[in-house]
Amino acid sequence: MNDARAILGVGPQAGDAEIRAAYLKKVKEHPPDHSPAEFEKIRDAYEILRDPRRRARQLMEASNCPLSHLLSDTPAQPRHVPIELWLEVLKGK
Amino acid sequence: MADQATAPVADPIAISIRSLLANGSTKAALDRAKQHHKEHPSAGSRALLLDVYLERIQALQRQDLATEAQSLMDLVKERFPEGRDRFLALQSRLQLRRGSLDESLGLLVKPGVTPEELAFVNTLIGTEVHDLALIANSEALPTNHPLRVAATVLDRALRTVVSGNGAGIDLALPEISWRSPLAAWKYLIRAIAAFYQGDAETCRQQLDSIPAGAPPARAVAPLRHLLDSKHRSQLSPAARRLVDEVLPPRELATEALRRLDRAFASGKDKQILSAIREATDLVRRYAPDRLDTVKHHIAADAYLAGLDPEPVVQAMGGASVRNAARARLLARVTENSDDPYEILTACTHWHEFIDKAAEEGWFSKKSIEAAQVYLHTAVIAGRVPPEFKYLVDRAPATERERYLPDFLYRKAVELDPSPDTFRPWLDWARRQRGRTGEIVAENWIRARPSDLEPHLYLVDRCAEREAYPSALKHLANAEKIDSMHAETRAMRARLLINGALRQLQQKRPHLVEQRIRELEELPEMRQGDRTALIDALAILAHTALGKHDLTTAAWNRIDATLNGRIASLLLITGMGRQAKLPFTHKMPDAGDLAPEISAQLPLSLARVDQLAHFARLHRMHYPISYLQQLPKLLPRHSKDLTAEQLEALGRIGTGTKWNDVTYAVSTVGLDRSPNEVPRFLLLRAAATRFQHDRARVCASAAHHLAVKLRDNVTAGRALDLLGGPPEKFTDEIVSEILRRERTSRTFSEFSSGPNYDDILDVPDFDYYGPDGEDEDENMFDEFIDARPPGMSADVARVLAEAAVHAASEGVPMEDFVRGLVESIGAPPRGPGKRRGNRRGGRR
Repeated sequence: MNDARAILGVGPQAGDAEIRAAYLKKVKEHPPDHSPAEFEKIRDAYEILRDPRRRARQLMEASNCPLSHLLSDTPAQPRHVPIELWLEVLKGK
Repeated sequence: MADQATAPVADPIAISIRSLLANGSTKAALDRAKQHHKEHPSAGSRALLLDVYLERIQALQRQDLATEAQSLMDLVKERFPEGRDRFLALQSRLQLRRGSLDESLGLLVKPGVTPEELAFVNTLIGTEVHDLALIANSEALPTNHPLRVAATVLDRALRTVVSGNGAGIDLALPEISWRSPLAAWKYLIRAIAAFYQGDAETCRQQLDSIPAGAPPARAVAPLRHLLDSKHRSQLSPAARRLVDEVLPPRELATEALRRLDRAFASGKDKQILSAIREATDLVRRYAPDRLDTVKHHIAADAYLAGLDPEPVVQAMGGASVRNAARARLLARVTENSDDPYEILTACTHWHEFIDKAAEEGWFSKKSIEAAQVYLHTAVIAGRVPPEFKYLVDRAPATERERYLPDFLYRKAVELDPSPDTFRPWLDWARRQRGRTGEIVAENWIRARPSDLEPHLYLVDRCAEREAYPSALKHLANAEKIDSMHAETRAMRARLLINGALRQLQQKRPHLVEQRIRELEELPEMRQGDRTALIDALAILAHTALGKHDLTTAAWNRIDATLNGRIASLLLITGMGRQAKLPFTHKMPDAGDLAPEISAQLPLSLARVDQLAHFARLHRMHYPISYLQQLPKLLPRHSKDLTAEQLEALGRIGTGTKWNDVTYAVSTVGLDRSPNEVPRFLLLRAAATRFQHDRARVCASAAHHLAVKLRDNVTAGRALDLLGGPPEKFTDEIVSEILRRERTSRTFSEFSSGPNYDDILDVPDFDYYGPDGEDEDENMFDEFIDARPPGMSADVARVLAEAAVHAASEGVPMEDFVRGLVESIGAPPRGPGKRRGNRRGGRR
């Protein structure tokens, strides 16, 4: 479980009550009979966060990923640009 | 249409004029040619002058002086009618540059057009027309002319795909045949459409189809860059502008970070600092919400790269915010190092993490969460080798505690006095000298009197140092808590066995009979082969007492239990050694054993070692000839052995340091069921511990598998063997490690076995380092930097060299440093920031 907090949508400051509320909200959004896989992820995340020791270990997780991955959670959609920019390239400038 | 000169002129002036042309001095060449033709007019000089005019026109074209070129062209056309054919190409290009193709296209519909003219126009279109609108809107061609129709379709398609409205467009473009001079445009349009649809593969395929000389080929490089941002520096200015506009702002920042990743990999400081500057600037503009995170990671990478912090902070445009996330990241990147200095640095960061996390409301300083951080820090601090404890001593007194495992464990149990917190403290303490373990167990009992574990530890510890009355006292306490617990009952049996052996050692064999009766009462002693332990005690006691009939009866029983005399002899000899008795039986040599008895040797040794392990007999003896025979016997006679029996043989191998035994056991063990594999992969690590990388890989892979199988015992042993965190492998890598180890079936002291450089990402050895520095020259810098006041750098270097020499001679560093400090008489300094050479150590 890489980031239980991200799954439940709670911050590092979240206490027991907030974690439980977030868990119940997520379960309502993804009930086990409709999305069992998602529910299992939510339940695992809650199991981690309800135990203060596991919660602490999870809070201590941090990985030194490549820098270029740091902004990768926002998908990059290329922009459309005026034809003139393409023509400049095609002109060989 | 030929542009080249036609006049065969060989006189010196003509040669000098052509030389000027070759050097690009067209203006000077024209002046000379005019002068030459004026002074010596001839057909040759006229032809030369025409050549020079044409070159001059082309030069003006290249300089984007289209009007000047056209004026000169008009003049030359008037004065040199004989060069009409040669003007066509030039005139067409001139017009193209001025945004018109009408004159050239007009040739296509001119009555009596020559094949050369047609070929010229097709070539011009296929290689130089960069804007389809010039053809699509040309009035020189009728609207239904196939070329104009094709250009119109392509121009519309191109404008549509680049504007993002191409969802319904037919990219088959049937109006354009593959033989058309405009065919390349079709591929470009499809490539652009595929790019915007996120279909990189189709985009690449279409780009591959564009011929190199066609104008659309000029868009290939920027499109390839957009697909996979590499080689940006090779793009033309217009292509760079296009890429910058097409890429979304965040992607621009990501791309800058990618360049920074590459700069860090290059290890070149200037390049890194420049890339940091560019990346932080773009992140600040386009992803300001991530600026702190990015700065934290840059700071971590810069630390690993050994960069001085000051220029890094400057390049980032300010220091990164000192918050919990930063402290955590820096702690994580430093804690895995083998360098004691960095381990201690990690401890400092974890302390900062607790402070910052408490400030930011993540948890309270007195919470179970804080206890977990202290516990983790204690484990890290415990990895500092004893010879480097002087680093802790150098720290200011107020900070020293944060590096001391004992203090950190105490802090953790103070906040969370649970078995989960006490257990790692006790595990650490039992590896320390003296009574540390007993003190921790007593602390545990004080905090949690009803926990069984510390009592059992004390029983074991007292028995180990032969303090039997104390051991019995602790056992009584353990039995009060849980007398039915398997370990409590096993502990009583062990104490009775070792107590009996002690009595034999004290030459009081008559007392042993009482112990034997007590042992016979214990249900644990009836499990498996354990009655053999009672019979072995009886043999030793009755022999000492001269009760030969009882001795013979015991021999018969033990032989029956252990299925033969070899195992009986091994057990009795081992117990006799434990009791320090002169009782010795000559063990038959392995070579003298009958084949059927020899085949039983692995099983006999395993059963005896299982008994010895249960009874904690530490002085077992296994004849060398048996150990030599084991690796040969195991491949054929191991299938009947249980995993526990195989493990017992592995224990014999590691205990006696017979690596080929350990290795042979691991070989047959690795062929066992998946549940059993982790422990034998760990055994492989133990067998190859002299091959550092291989042992590390095997132990880390064993840990990975054990964790997946929830085999906590093997996972814990793997961590013990590693002495720190394991390498992080994927399932695929672990499978590959297993494959390599399974195929490496025979042990050799002289072979390094499978190579794991690819898995460990070991960089090529570079003697001089990436900056061309001599590592040997730098290795003493740290010592020199930390020299006492008044000592010259030369003296410090001599002392540092002496330290290295002492280490190579086997002098413990602690002794050397003590001697050094005493001889210098200087107070130790606290640890300060140093510039390390961690090139290639990132991730």
